[in-house]
Amino acid sequence: MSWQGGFGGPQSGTGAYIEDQGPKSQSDWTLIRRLVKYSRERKREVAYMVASVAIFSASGVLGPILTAYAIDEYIFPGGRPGDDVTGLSVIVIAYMLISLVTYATENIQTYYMATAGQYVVYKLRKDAVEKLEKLSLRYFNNRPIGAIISHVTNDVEVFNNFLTFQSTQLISGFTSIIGIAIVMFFINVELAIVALSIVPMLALLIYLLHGRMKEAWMSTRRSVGALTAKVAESVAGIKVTQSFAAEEADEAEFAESNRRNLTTNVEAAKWSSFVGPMAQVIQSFGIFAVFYVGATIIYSGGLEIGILAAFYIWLNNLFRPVQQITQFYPQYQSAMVGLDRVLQIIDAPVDLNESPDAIEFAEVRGEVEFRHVSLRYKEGDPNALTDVNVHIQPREIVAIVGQTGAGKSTFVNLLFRFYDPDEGAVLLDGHDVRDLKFQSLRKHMAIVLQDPFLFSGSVMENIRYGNLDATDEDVIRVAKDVGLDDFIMGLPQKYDTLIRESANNISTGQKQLVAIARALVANPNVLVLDEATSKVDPFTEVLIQRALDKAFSDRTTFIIAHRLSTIRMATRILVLDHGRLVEEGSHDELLRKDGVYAKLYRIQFQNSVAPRPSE
Amino acid sequence: MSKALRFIRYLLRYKLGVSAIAAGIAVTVYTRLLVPAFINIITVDITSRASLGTILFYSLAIIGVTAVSGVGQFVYSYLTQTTGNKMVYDIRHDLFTSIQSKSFSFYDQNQVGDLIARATGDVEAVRRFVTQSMGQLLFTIALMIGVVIELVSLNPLLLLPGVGLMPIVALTGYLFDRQQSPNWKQVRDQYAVMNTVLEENLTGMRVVRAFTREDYEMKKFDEINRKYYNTNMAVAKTRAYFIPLMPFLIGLNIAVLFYFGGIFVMRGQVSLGDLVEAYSILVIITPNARFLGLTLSQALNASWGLERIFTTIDTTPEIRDSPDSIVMKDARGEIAFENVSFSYEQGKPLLKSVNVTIQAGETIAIVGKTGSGKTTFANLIPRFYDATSGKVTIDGVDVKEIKLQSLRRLVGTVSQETFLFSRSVRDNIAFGVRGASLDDIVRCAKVAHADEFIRTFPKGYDTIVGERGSTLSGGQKQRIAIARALLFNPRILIFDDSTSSVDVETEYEIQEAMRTMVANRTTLLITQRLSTIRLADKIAVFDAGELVEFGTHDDLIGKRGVYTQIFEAQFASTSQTIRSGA
Repeated sequence: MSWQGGFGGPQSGTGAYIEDQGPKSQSDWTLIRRLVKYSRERKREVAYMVASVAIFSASGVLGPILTAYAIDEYIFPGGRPGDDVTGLSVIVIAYMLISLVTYATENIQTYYMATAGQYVVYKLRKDAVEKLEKLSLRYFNNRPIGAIISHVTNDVEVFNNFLTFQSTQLISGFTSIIGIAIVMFFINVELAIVALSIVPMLALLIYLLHGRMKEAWMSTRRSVGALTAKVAESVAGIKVTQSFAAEEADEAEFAESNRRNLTTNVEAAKWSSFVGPMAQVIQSFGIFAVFYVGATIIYSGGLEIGILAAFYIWLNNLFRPVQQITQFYPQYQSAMVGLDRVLQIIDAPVDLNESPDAIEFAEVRGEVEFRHVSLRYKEGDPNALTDVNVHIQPREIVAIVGQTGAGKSTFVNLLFRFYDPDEGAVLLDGHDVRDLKFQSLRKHMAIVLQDPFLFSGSVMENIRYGNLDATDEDVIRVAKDVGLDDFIMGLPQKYDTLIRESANNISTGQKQLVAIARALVANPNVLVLDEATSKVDPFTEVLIQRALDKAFSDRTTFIIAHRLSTIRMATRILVLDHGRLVEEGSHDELLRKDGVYAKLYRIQFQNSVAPRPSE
Repeated sequence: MSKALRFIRYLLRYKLGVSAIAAGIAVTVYTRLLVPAFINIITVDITSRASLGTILFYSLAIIGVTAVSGVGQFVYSYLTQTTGNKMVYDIRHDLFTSIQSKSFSFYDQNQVGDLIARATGDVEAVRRFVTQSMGQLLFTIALMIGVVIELVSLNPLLLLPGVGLMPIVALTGYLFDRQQSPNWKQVRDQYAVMNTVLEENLTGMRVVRAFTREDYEMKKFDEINRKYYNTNMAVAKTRAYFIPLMPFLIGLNIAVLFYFGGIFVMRGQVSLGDLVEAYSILVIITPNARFLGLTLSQALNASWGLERIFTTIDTTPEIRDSPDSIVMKDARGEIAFENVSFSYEQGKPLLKSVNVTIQAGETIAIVGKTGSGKTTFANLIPRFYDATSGKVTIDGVDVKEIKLQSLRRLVGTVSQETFLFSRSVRDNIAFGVRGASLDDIVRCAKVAHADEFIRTFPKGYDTIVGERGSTLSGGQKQRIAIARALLFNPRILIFDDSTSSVDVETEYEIQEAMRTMVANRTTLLITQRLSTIRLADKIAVFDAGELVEFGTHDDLIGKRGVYTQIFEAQFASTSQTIRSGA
């Protein structure tokens, strides 16, 4: 039961993906530009990296020149074995030094790439979560939480893997190509043209296969997305699956998803396995040309054998990045998709903004007014609330009743500014809530939700969540007030007992009590109880009622309840029906009116006192 | 069995694929090393001014062997990816079915976010290794062996300068592995924590917002995000030293080769062609050596992913079929508890020797204070948990003797917390009876009073629940869950406070409609609202884990015990409303 609440909340979705795993919303170029922007705070590291990449590439080009020199000058000068070991030693030492420089620069570039890259990854996650905290509940309406989590963790991780494992290799590979081409032309134009003639062939190969490869890899992304969704949902709903003995059907669905993922991957493997060997074959044409043409040039006295060997080595090095492109292509695609996904979160417009000149409230009296308020959750949906007008004085106790879906929770959502109304305004102490700082608005209000969501952490921490300044004594006093103290003292570590670990020992009703304590410790000026005691037995409820009676005295209170017994304290009752405020008044007035409320009241009263006689 | 061995067992399920991979690698290594051999010949030919025709022949031969090596490379690359993906399929399958078969207590102890991380992130780490790096690793090993053989056969004089530094490479690889391993374990663990923290943050969003704890939550996430960053940085630092080390050692090797090889050539002990060939070989293996570092990183990451996966698979479910369990196709539905006690922790019993017999077809209301053991009692019947002592029977058969699947087909539960799947309303209701007709679905939805609101959705029964997650109220979700259980049509039906979020009027109507549904089955109604008792033949009253009273309403009222107390508490609060109204 540890995940109850976690997946029971009204907006929690189910931890599954249902979204389209389609193409990206931004081009690769835009993504890379934004990436560069992101790395700005690590400018120095990036500069070191760029510098070391340049030196690294240069030293890579230089190596074959040294070996050519060694062969042509000392080992085999003029086509005969030489004898200048000292000269050879100098070259060998130079080669070692170059290797050392190569090592150092590769180390530096790998390290700084990681520094900058890991920072970007960290920052992307941080920004995404910060944005998620700012987005209104509307944003989460059609997005399963599992999908959002996956964007922040898994998708960024895919990007991270590409960045740390593959990107430096690609970058230094490309700079090497340029360096090698320049040196080749510098040394022998004819041979350079011959050697580089294969580059267009390679480009053509990649161009021809690019579309297919991309398609194949996108379909693997889609299938893995669907699979992740399936797994996430199955895990989240496993208790239901087990209780309906539906494991087999669930497993069949999973197997289907798993198999589709296998098929798409195998299809993609075909293409990626094809490109590497093809590139090798094209390269061998280059090698063939270099040696054959090289030999003719040597025979005409225009070249020496060492240089020919160097051309061969360069040709090999030229191919490394090409090989890598084909090898890393899938990772590159996935990385870009991952980056795009998380940036979409970061870019999401915040629809509930704190206005720049928002007011701070030091004290709240608790006067609440709804002025012609209407709201619908989604374009095309019927209104959840229509033209609601009501003015509540400080310290009133207001009960909100109505059928499921009548708009009771919507009323509360607007009061807390979880949503902004489409029309009209909600006012607190005469100020439109849109003109108040969030902190200031919500600091003076507290809510107990239907679903008593608790965080992993101790009982003490969970109650204190309502008011971080509360002392241990405050927490204990409130726990005593709601009749929770006895239960907590019976737990193994008392107030320090971890909620998750003891999830087995705490019933849903007791969780509701913790949630009530959490709200009361905030000592709010406006208290909202949304079906706060629905899972508590009548006996305990009476105790809570008593605790609340005290609590009600100096604050404005809203009570949403199905059990009318819960609202006996109310000074005013609002009856909602299909989003409209249909009745309003005291219990007596509403009974006299003989309308919706009176009917509700009669049903409940008759039922609760007249159980079926036993036969 | 060590995880490496188990991994290999998964691999060896595809013996044919593995042998084809081995063959492909052998062909590729052999033909690829032929290229330097031809370059050797060409070099010698050029220095001896052989005819251009000979040179043309060997140059063309390079294209020929490359084509063959290309075929080999395609085969092993394609097959490692295919086989690797099949292995991942198998591992994922085993993990999934194992998670699926765990007992409720397992899910109580493991957070959803963590389990999901195992089933996705950890499997992904394994996948990355087996499909991307495993082939590389095998190929590199084969290539190294091939290089040694080639150099020995070429000229033993070149062996030492050619591969003299290789043992150092192997040693650093080993040291790297040892040094990095704990970091990679941390990477995997912290990744899972990051998932859990985020999951909790997002599912508890309304609480976070209502108490303006956004900063607090961001700080909590930032903490684990930062930790993860630091661990990754530690890994990256070592990697930055290690990865360039391979090409560096090869670079030194080339220098050494040129020194000694150069002298050998000067002395005429070795031909220039042999030197160029050895040089070419070292150049060819450089990228493979560089990859070795990446490969090892991915292998370590995968191995800790595997560790977490295997640990999960190896956890034996506490509740499973006994070897001689029976299939119970149908039952009358008589339930008996014989001296049943239950506790999660020693010394803290949640149920204390409960004895009760519920006759087939009876409707029992279960009442009691919060935390008195009502849900625990009900959980023992479909074996969500096993009794610590005593015996629960259905029609006289111990539930532990009944095959779980058939037991759970007999018992349907509507639990306190409603979980709906992200699929259509229709599929959600038909969850227990795949392929049920729409008529049946609608009939059950009507009884649960879900039909009326489902019809108001633009897409009706085809509305995806996930899409409307926020606009489905708690009461609406509960009504869908009730319809789901009704369609399942079990012999024994348990409602665990399943109308708590439904308004009173609708609840009343659901109860009226359910009268027919409860008529021919055993029904347990856990409830806080005494109004539900109208439906019950008998009432079971729990207090602090004990079944303190059991009987009809009249019996119990007469006793003036706990039931009377509870009854009066509710009556009192209701009548107070009346008084304040009068």
